[in-house]
Amino acid sequence: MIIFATSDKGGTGRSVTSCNVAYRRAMQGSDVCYLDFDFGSPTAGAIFGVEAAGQGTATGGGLHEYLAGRTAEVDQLDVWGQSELGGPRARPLGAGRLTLLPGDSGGGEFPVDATMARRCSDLFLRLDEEFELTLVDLSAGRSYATELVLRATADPALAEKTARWLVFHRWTRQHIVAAAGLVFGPHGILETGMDRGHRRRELEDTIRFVRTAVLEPDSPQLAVLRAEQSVWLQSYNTDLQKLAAKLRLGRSVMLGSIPLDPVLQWREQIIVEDDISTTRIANEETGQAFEDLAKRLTDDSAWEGL
Amino acid sequence: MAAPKATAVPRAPKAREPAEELDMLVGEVRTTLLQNSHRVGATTVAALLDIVPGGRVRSATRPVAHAFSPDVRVGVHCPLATISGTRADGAGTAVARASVTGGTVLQASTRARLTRAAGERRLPWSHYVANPGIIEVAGRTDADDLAAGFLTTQTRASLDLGAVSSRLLSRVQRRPGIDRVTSLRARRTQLRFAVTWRSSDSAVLPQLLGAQRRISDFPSVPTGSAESFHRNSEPAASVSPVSVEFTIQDETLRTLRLRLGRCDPSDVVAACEDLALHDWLLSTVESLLDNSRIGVDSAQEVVRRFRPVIDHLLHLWMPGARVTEELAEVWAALERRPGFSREWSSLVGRIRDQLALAGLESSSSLSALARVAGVCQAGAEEDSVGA
Ligand SMILES: Nc1ncnc2c1ncn2[C@@H]1O[C@H](COP(=O)(O)OP(=O)(O)OP(=O)(O)O)[C@@H](O)[C@H]1O
Ligand SMILES: [Mg+2]
Repeated sequence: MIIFATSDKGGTGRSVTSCNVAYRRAMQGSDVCYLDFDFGSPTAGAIFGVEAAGQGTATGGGLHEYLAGRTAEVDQLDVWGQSELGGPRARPLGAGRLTLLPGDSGGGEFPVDATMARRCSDLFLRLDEEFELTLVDLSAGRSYATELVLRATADPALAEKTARWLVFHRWTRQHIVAAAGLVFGPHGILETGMDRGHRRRELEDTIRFVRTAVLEPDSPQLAVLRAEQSVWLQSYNTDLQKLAAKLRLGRSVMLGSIPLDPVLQWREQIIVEDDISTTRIANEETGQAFEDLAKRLTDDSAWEGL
Repeated sequence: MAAPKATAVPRAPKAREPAEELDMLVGEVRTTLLQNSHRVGATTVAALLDIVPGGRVRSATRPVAHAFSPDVRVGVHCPLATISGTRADGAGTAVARASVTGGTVLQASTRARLTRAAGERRLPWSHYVANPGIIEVAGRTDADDLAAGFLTTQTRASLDLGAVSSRLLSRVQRRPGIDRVTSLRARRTQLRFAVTWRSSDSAVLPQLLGAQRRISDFPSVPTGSAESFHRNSEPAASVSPVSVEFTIQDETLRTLRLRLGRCDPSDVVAACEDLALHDWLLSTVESLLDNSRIGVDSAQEVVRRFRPVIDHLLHLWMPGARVTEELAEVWAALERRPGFSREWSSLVGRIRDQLALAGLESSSSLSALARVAGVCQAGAEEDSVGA
């Protein structure tokens, strides 16, 4: 299964959430690969703590170079072996593989052509031979990367492959409007997808939304609020819910909601069990939200047509 | 990335005679699972492999269904890796073919014979096209240097026959006739080989005494470098013209260095494909077993997980089936160390154990039910039947 992660605005938490979800999923036993398609600013290496690819790789074997036809094969970095995530540079017992296909340092966006789309679909097919989950972090907004994968997934050779989309947005008025625009608006995912040969209805059924850095009004973090603030927050939250529903981002198409976590506020990182139960710097709810989202990626009941 | 220059090498190798004769075979086999929900029949396989207009797909049905495509030619003009760092350039063509075994396993192998170029200058393409599968080498290097370089120090710029094989795999995987639904996830493996020939009198040369073998163990924990060990000096009586060095470089890359008596290169390629197939079977089944949570989940659950192995892979084990008499010694060496068939039977044994356990589990849960229903006697009988 291929999962695309996108967002309209930058800095929504798309990469941090996707990396955490990939990590959780691998811990749950799946073989997972993570593709950094954010060609302008590849950050996945840094989030996973893989030094060799902190800001993309410099070997000339990253995804950008592969898609441009300058290398026949993409570097595959074993995250367990090259970071401290699973303990001392080893795969934790019972975990699946966690493999990073990095971007290139100094890469950038580039126009898409048919050969590139073909290389892209070849890569997806090839990774699907061995990984249960291929997670692709696209760049923000209406990017070439998005166009590229819409072309690649329209390739008839991928007809039997399941591809799903996660659209990340923060829980604010502007983010909600922007996310709706990215999916339903002009030159959005659906429109571009149709231009590339997808059927609108079917494509729409493969899209779900993920809310990031959310402060629930009943969160203990908000216990310090004055009564007036609480009341206002409650009612504004209700307004946002109405807005989301109106713009077709309502609860029925929401796959997950990740609470605001102080750790992530300050540092882009994977939240591991130790951060929750030993050093207790991260909140349990955040870990749980990643865990649930990781499971829901392949839970068909969460992806039924509406 | 610039090709290594002779001048950049601190330890200059001993001066090499440029005129020294060169005749060697290099290649790389990539192996994977054909992407289809079930075993593919002979007619479909033939259509899948029909990738060269006017070419002929060859096939055999025994002992296991096996078919291979006509050769595809690929033009090559690039530096060749050498272990000494000596500069060498290759120009010519490599040939690649795809094959399907048991309607299930897909392989692509690319090979080329390396010969000495007549001069330093590149000739017109027509010259190379007339000699398919031959790459002419310009540079002051020899076969051992090229073999070691090819096996272990390839760079992005140097000759990469594996990339050709990989592209061919992808090409077949996207052809019509297969549904690309997979019942089993398996990694692609790569077997890189380099072969030189021994002239009949070479067995008396001192460095060739003792049929040297360097064959690695299967590494239990992946380490940065290849795990391999040296086994030297067989008793003088068993000095054979064959030397086999099989090394597991990492989780997916294996290298094979062969020094052989005179034999047909195409037989060698077939033997390497056969070896790659069995190595892939071993790696695939082993990693599936390792990840099937034996001892954690119920045996029935475990068996459900490796069911596809039983259905699709177990019967494909037939080592040496496509290896000619002359090359039987290569397989024999690999059977001694690392002991492919030994390893395989232990894997199959583990599968059998789980099957037996699963049988026990289901009959004991049946008998538990029976006991609850108050028919202990019947339950006990069932137990013995089930076990
Ligand atoms: N749940 C969260 N709680 C608090 N902060 C978060 C949360 N998720 C992400 N962040 C923070 O938000 C910032 C942006 O996150 P991230 O880099 O993942 O966004 P992005 O959408 O990938 O951005 P870009 O478009 O630049 O790639 C980071 O500092 C990150 O640590
Ligand atoms: Mg990002």
